[in-house]
Amino acid sequence: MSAVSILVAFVIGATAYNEAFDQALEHYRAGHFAESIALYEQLVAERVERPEVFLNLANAYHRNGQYPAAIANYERALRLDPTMEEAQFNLTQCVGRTKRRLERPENPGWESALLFWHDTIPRSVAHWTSIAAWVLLWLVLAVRLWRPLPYLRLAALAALVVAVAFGASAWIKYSPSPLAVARYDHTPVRFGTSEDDDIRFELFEGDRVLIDGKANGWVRVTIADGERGWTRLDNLIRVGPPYENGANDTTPETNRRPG
Amino acid sequence: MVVNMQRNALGRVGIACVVALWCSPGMADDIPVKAWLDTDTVQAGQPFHIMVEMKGSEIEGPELPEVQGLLIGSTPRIRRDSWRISMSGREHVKIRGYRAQVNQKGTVTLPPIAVTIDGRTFHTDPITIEVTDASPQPRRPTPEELDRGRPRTQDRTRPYISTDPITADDIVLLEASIDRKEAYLNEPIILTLTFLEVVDAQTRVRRLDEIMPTTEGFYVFPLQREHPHGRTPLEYRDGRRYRIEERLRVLYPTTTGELTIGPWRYYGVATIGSGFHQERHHLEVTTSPITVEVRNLPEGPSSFTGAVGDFSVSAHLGQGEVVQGVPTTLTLTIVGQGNPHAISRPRFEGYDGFSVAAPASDIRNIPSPDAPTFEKKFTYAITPYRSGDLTFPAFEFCYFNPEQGTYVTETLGPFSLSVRPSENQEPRIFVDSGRDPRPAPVETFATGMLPPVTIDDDLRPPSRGIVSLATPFAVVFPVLAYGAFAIILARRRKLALDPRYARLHRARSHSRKRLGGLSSAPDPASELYRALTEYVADMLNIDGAGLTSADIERILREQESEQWLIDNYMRILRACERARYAGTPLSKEELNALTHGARLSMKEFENHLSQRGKV
Repeated sequence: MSAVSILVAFVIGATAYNEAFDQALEHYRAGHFAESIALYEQLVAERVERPEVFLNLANAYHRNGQYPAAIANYERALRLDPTMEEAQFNLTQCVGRTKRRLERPENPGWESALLFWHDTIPRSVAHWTSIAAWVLLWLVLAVRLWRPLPYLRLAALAALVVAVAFGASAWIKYSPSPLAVARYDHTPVRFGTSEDDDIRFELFEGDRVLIDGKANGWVRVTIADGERGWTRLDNLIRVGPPYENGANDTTPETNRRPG
Repeated sequence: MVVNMQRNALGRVGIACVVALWCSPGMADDIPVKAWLDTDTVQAGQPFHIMVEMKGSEIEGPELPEVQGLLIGSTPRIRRDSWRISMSGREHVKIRGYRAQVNQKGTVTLPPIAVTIDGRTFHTDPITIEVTDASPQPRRPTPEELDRGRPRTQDRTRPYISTDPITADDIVLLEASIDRKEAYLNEPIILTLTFLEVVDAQTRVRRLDEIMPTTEGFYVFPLQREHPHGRTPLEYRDGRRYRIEERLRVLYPTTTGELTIGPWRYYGVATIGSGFHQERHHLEVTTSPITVEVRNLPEGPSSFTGAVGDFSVSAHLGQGEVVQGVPTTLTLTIVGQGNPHAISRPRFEGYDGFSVAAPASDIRNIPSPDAPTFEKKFTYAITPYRSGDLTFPAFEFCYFNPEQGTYVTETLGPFSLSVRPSENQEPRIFVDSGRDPRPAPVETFATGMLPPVTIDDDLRPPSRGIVSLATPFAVVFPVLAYGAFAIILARRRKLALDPRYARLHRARSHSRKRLGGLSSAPDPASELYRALTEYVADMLNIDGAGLTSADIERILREQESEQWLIDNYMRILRACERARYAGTPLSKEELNALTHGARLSMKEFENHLSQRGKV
């Protein structure tokens, strides 16, 4: 395949995605939220993973009253760009419309303490900053090998620290803690991985949880106040990646009040 | 006989009366339900009980009505049951008492309460409740004073401590209240949620679930307050000691009309007692929903920025030297209470001679014990086109003050600037954000959301192939390059500092180069001779000048070389000597054969030295 044809395919592909995005936006503005959702989900399925796409998709779900899917997509947008004000504001609004307005479960304490910049920079910035610092580190070491000038050791140490710190930040951003959003009201969270186990507490639509264990279609979830238990994976929308379609619905588990 | 008959008749009448009287409760009482209050006076903030009496065989209810301003507990605190026999059969008399409370002085009407008895629905009479102000309470000693059994002040009043056993209704109490029932759009409303949990050695509570009140139509902002006004974390209520947790929210209504703050629900399990005398209770406590009437803002000026509340506004332009064509900063600072996200930037007009870029905004919360206070800053980059004494025109910031019910317009500026001429005389291109920097209408008021965004660049999935290899390449390549560089550098240093190593390193290349150029050399025999002797000298780091074949033979023997290698070497050297001294040049075939033999000999000699550990 010649270079020219590759370039043409590249450009045409980009144009088609932009057209789909603009069309979805037009549907949104016209109030046709279901159509808008379908187009945005198609872009996500095609791996067009941009924070703007997730934000607009979340807005469409939000206006369509599908708060769990909206919250999941706002979280996706913020994972790619933590500084996105629209996503932050609208997420707050959407969570405010859920029953419990549950806070997002916090990341591990060491993450917030050591990587204090982590939530203020996009993933790509952390990625390429660490790469640049890594390359600079070896360059400085090579120069030091050739000419042992003063301060080169300090410069190398500084480059190493930056490379490791931003590398850790990028690593965490690429494999973040698995966050999920409850799809339904009265989702039971049990003591074990069986329907016969007692219910420990219930999740409500839009509650965000951290997944820290999996077994046979069940996941162990933790909510903001530290309560933990097992529920079926089908009851949740995973924030991802991978980015599952928030419109996919499954029959909810039988609901009953705890106690 | 007549007397007997009269006596008999009187007796029958008497019996009939007794029977009638005995049955009268079932016949004469036509009202099987009634309701009353357990107190003659109701004070604001003080609990009382609504008593309901129901009589019948099968009783369902009562269905408690929802009354604005009247909080009624969902489960009865007082239960009395009795049964009696009547003409209609066995009759159940059921009395239930529901805890109630009114928080504000005034008149509240309790509407009829419906009860279904034996398949028919009956209603109680409505009750008018006159609520008076709460009378001053005697000072209650602190818990520490009580523990010591002696209050510190002269007032010897001790709190009432109930000796009744704790019931499920005493364990957890929820209270929800707001500071205003009517508000303007985006005017802050403080929602106070008070959670009380009984402090008792014999009682343990486990929370199972808690559903916060729904606040649809509001933008909600948490308000942090470490200790509530005038309240300690412990408080006494009806003789019980409670731990109090107060949670505050600020609500900004985003739509007009009647908005409802939903009930706050708590589900838990309480265990009273210990050992074999434990009682387990499921707790379900809920507050009543609260409605708020939201008024639309009156028609306002075009300069209205969307801010609702009480604000102080200031603006500051430029600091230090201002140069033509170089941006300076205009900072607009707004401090006050109200929804900061609803405040849009003010309009600038008549700023000819300046370029104004779209501002950056920043919101900072200011801790306050009463209501949320924030500081919002708009920062503009303003670039003067010309030099000299310039004036940036004044502009207006308009907000709506709900306390006054009017719009307030603050005028900021004008701002004088002294602009130094630029040293760069090239024409400049200024990018202006537009004559009307007001942003497009936002959806905040209508939906509480910011609108979707557009994209200017091309959308595409993440690239594979070369680009996806960039990261591992960028990680691995510097390490490999550094390693290669280190090796090269080390070798060069060794070559420079260690002559023996340098001669050894160059021996092969020198000999190869000499042997390769034999055919074009003017005296191939001499070159071949020199290649062989200098090769041995380089390998052993000895002086190669003037070495004869006899010297080479001696050296080879000293190195304990194989005899055939020595013989080969001698044969080649002597052939070169003969060719040199006899004056007969070597033929091409001879030269090729000798060159080939020389290469083999050199290689064998190197192997021999390697085996002996000398290279």
